[in-house]
Amino acid sequence: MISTRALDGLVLAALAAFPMVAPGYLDLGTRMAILALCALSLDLLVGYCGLVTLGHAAFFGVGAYAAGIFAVRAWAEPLAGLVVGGLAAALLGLVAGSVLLRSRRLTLIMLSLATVLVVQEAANRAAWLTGGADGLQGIVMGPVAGAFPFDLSGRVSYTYAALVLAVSFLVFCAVIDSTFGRSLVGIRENEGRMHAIGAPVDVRLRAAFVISAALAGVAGALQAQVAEFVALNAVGVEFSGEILIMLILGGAGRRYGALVGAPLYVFMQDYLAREDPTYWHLWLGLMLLAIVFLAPGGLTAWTSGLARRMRRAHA
Amino acid sequence: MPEPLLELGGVSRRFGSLEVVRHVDLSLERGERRALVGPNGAGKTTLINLISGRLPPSGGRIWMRGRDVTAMREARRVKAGIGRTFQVTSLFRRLAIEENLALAVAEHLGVAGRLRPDRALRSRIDARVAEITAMLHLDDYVTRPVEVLPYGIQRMVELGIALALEPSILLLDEPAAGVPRADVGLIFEAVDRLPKELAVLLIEHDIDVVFRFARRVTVLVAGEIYAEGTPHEISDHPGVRALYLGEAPRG
Amino acid sequence: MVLYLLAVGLTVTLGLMRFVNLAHGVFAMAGGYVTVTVMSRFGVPFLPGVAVAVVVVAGAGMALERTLYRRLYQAPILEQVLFSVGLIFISMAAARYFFGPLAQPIELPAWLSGPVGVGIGAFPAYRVFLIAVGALVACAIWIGIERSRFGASVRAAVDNRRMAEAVGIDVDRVFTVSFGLGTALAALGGGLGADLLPIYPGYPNDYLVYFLIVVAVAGFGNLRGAFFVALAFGIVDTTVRYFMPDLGRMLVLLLVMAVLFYRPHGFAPRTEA
Repeated sequence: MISTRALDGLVLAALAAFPMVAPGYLDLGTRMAILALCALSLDLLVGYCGLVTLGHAAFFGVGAYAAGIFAVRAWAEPLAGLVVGGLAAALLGLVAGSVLLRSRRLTLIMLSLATVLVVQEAANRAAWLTGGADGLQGIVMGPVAGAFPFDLSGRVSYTYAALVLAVSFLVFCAVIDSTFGRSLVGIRENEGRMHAIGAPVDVRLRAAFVISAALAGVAGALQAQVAEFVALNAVGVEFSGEILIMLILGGAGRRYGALVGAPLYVFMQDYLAREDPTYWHLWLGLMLLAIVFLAPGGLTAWTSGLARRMRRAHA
Repeated sequence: MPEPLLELGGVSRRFGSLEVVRHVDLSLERGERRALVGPNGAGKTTLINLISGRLPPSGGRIWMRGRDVTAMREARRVKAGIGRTFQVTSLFRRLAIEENLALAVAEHLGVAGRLRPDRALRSRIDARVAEITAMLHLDDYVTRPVEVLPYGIQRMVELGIALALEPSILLLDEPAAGVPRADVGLIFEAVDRLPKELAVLLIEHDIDVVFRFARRVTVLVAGEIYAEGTPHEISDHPGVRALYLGEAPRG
Repeated sequence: MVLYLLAVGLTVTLGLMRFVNLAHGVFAMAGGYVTVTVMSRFGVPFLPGVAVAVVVVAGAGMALERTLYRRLYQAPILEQVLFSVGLIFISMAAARYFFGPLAQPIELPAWLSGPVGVGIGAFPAYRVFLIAVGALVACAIWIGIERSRFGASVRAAVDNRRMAEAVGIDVDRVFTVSFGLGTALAALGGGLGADLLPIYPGYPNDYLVYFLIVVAVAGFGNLRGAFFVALAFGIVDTTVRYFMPDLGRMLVLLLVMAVLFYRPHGFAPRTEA
């Protein structure tokens, strides 16, 4: 059995090696890193708390808008923008969490959808601030930490995004390995029993909501800074669904699920959707059915199941 | 007279128009061993749910050490010292025994909300889990997911989770329900070895077990306390005899 | 009121059968497309067109239930969500491929396109018609499900499959039929309402939240509740949009959130064990 620590190291090494292996695909790599972060943040809710939501784009979008507006109107330093994006999303997470977490299952899904629609509508209406349907334009980012300006080759963008992802992944691992993270799994497995062992279930779930929202907000901020643009559909229902699909593709509630799923998704999308977005939807749908019926638990569950079977065959 | 650990005053609970628990007065002292018996549907489990805070009562009050806890939520009551097991096993089925117990231990130590992994803390939790598994003879199974284990073992884990909370009052809702005859002894052996100072309220149908275990017996019929006394008083009580003879003889 | 027709079908699958079927709109859209197609290709009038759609879609729904849905009844909610989202995507691609991205125009018969006098004033005949159909369906469902053996067997089968089988209920058949009923209602709503909620490839996605609102606010499995909630929702929605067109959708959604904040289980009669 390869140790968790070694696999964690492998993840970081892969992030570092990407520019050397695929120097021509840095933009794609940046996109993969950002979406992986977003899927990672969703995993806290879906995979660890067992809360199915279709509202994650709200946090991503708010983070993106907050960072974008902050850059346009206040300060163009990217790191500060990340903090602003993360905080704005965390705040929304706190508010949304206290409303949404009163319900479960389908009502929760519906309310999470409603959250996205409300945020999107707000962004659409407040055109003076957000650019409305045209998107937020005119972002000009300063150099990262005052020293590394974004360049056309995308090298700085990629390095920046990959570093943020790496740090966030370590945060994510700390959270899931902590007693807090274990108690989230306890809530997922048997919420009623958690009450009966004295766990303040609501407080825990709300905290998870805030952490998850903050990470998604950071991902959104990254997106806004790297693209120097925020599109209105960054807070779309469809994007919410896509994040969920990336996560599921890799495997929810599994340490490396989001990190495997998001890049794979981006890769396939880049490959399959180039010609016609209609077919992309078709492929996406078929892919979902395939996961549900053939590989429940996503690719990482499938591979670890495979590894287990191989070991057994050896023994 | 010392203040009772737990006291119920006129506690009632209705579901719609059906009053399942009616004006129950009950108290538990430190170290008490009390059995709660009665026919099916008498409201025994509902009474446990009311004491543990799973259900709010529709009338009456509940005190712990003289403090009114009627409005206190379930999780807070656990912190105040009430532990329970469930009649139908309620575990974290896909997790290993040690993880089931670790969740409870972490809550009891008040560290379950910690966000950073901490080795020293982890080993403290593991040590406590090991104590419990040793006490309940679960050592051979600790790393297996609960759902694949025999039901008798699952019932022991159920008890282990409650003990991990180090309660001062323990509510046992038919701890051997559904367990094959051969394993029932193991469970009651564990129940017999519970810490002396712990107050235990046991729901149990097997009258032999009740008489061996309990110092006091409360008989609940149709939501009301029908009789109360020492096992001898209860076994001599003509009404109770009729009740139990009227029921199909068990076993 | 279209909303009611759509949502009540969802109440059947979701509330009674406890399947999180986000793909409900797919069946409604299919109903719309079939209606439009048989009307334009074969010159079938509106109502028979809708009838054809209901039959076709219900048949397709039952076939899907037999082949795919059935396997997921015991699956975790996440897999039900993924599966139905997958169906949504596939249907959107198919709709775009066969019918193009534009909304399908539907030609209403003359007797539905004019105004009609109803006591207090004149209303568009089409809307009056929809409300009437909605009320009719509501009564039929109430008698047919809440009061009948069939409804009881669905509930029994969901609660305890083995016990239901033991007392002689053909669980598979009950599930297939109730799923078919749910899709038939969806197709009915999609077909009849095609003039109000236009049929286009984004349909299952864009109206999803509205179906879910009705079902969630009414409370799961509360068939009568769904009727009143859909009615109230329609009235509130129209009023808000009329007076505050700028904030319409947002206010309505916030209102829904507020309602569910205070009544997380909706308006279903509370059941406790």
